[in-house]
Amino acid sequence: MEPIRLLNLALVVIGVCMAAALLTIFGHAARSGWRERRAGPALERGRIALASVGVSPRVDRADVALLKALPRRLQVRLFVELVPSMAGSQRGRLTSLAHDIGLIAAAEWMCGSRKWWRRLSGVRLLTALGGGDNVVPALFRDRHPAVRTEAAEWAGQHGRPEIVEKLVSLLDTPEAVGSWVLRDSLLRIGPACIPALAAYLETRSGARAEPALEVAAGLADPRFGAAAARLCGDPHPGVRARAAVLAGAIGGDALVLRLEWLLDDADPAVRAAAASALGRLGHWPVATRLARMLRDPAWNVRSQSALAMRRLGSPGLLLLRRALDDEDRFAADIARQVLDMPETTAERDQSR
Amino acid sequence: MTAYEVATWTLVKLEWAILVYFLLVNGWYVVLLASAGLEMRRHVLLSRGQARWKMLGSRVVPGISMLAPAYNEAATIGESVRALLALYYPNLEVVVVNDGSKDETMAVLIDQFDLAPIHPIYPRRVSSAEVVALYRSRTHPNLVVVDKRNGGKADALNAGLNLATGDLVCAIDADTLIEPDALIRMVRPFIDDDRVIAAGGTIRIANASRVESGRVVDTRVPRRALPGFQVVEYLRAFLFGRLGWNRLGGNLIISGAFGLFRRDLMLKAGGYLHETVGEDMELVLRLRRTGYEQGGAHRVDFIPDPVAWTEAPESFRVLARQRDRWQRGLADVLWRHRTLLFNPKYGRMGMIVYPYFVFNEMLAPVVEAVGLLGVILGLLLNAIDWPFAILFFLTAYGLGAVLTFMALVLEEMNFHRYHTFGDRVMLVVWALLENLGYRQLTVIWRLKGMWNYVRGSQKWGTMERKGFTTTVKTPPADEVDAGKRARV
Repeated sequence: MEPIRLLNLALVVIGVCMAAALLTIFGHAARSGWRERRAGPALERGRIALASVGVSPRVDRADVALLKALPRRLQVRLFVELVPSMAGSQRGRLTSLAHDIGLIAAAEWMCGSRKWWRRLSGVRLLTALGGGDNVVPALFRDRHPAVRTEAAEWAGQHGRPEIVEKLVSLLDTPEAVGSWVLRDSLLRIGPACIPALAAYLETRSGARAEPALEVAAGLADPRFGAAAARLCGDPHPGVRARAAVLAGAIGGDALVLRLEWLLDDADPAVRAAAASALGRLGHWPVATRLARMLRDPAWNVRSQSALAMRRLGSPGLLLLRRALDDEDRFAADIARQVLDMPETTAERDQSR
Repeated sequence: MTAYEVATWTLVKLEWAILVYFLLVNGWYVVLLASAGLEMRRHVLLSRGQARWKMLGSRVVPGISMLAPAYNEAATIGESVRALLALYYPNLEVVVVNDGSKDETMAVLIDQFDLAPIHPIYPRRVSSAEVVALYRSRTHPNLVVVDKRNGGKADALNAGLNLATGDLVCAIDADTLIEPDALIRMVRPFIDDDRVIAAGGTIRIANASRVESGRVVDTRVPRRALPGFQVVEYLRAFLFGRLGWNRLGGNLIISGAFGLFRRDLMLKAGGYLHETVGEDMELVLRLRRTGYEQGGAHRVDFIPDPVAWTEAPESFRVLARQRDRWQRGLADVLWRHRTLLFNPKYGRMGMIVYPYFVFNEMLAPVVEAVGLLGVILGLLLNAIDWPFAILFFLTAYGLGAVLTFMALVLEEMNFHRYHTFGDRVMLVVWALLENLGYRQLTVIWRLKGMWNYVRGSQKWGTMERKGFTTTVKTPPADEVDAGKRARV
């Protein structure tokens, strides 16, 4: 083909593409506007009907009929819009209404789809509305990571023992779901996951124990005590540091002894975590040891020790003021900084 | 052979070389466009119906430290910091770095946020100019202010980095307007994948949009040509270019106006480099490169959601300076990391992404200028016939317009931010007119940037802006000026 004819052809293709793009831009805008205008009154009526479910325990049949008559897309939109603002019995009524109008059945059907995005939408809908006990647990091992992750998020609202067991067992393979989602879901489940998590921690060590230790620290239950004491001696510094945080959250004589022992750990992150944990427990007998740690070569240890001393109250503050005249410039500096710190800021830094 | 014949022969051969370059570049653009389309579809499917609000109640989200360098921002700093403190994120720390301002920036901060001076010691992990004072807010426990000597944006960010305590660090320009839920969107890649080291999002132009309390509340398309051209230019760069690279080997650039990084890796890499005007790109390249060399994480994600807004230059003089600086930064960074070129050790980054940036992003203005001059000379010497030249010109610019139109399609189909008919018409108008004059001007400015780089210029230049809500003019600054910048 001659170059000039090739250019002519290219220009025709360009023209067609531009026309198609223009048509898409303005066509899509017009269609969206039209759909919004058309759905407006129905959405408004649906919002009123749904809101009435929130205030009144009795569900009006007319409201149910109205919601049932809405297209599925609008039903989903209305429920997803309202769900974040409802909890407790109101949320329960909303779930029951979603069941009555067939929304939950539709979401469960979507969970069985061959297309991953449909399964994802299905789980998301069930996470928002409730339900799905029979279909979602199977999705913990879904082919698509996003579906697995969403299934784990769903589990965060379902503290039944078999679900918790499954969720805790996933801690062994964080790459399958994502460590954050697992930790978040377990913390949302709360006390119901303590027995399974404590049993898990009894048998784990090393990097595998880290996410579980973080969750355990958030739940702060004495049933984690044995695991915390054992893991304070783990070969991995990261695990020892997390175990120290857990020990500080639980307290008790045995764990305080472990924490005091960790103040001499070779790893600075562990020493810092132990100092912070002892400050959190208000264990004032270690005040003089913490004062010595203001001379530690690691910034984080000095900083956490000073913050812990401030938290100990009078004994710690007294030693901090004395440290202002310390011959070690680093100890004096960190003492000055922590004493200068506004109250609100110090509290925040200690809780981090 | 006469001189005329030699010149004609050279021009014809040159035109062929340009034609081959043109075909290669545009062929790659088609691949990028297809990749951007697929990525956008994936993003929409993954984020549809996602309950982002749940993250607000989470106790295990990674902590984020926002680093906001400020230089002579007295007029807007209060509002900017309040907007940062009001971002939706449960574990947020704001570190404002006053980079030796000559105006009342520091006094405004002390007054409006009830700052208490604290003893100015900190772990000096990366180098920066001298820190004069440190402050913590009594009313906002998560606000830290660093008062330091002037050293430029990279230096200010390094000072902030030393003070930051979050797992992630978000570097912004002091005048960037951030969407309230931007951090919740941006943190997602880090949560979903441990291999992600940095993430960027779409930066948009806020000129002509209505801004209230540091938030863009009504998105509009500027009616003035210069900011209008930049609106479509930014849309094309982010929705087509950067999104496309997500699938093809990752991005090399995260806009300096808003980017999220892993703090541990930033510290390990030594923070921002002072000796370059392209510090944001240099950091991304260095982090990725280190990841490849040490067998660690090296993934950079781009999120197409509009997460931040910036003000585009409205005068030719300021825009010319900005583009000159971007080009110098690009050339400098690519030269510093020249060993990456076609180096299989760096995977797709070395074999595809880096060469693309060298041969297309950096050398495009040179090729475009040579091509244009060649066509003009060829026509004068009758070496090229007029119909062919006109058709070639129309095809080249038509292809450019098609790419912009496709970016507009992606915006309309997925984000729908410009809601009036008039705004959409204006977007199309600017997309069509952009190729007639504006594009050629940017070529000249970029060539000037290349020339200045060769001469060794490291100037930042100054940035004058109208401001979003009130008219603010930044006074001329030192050689190094922490002015606003957002690389496209």
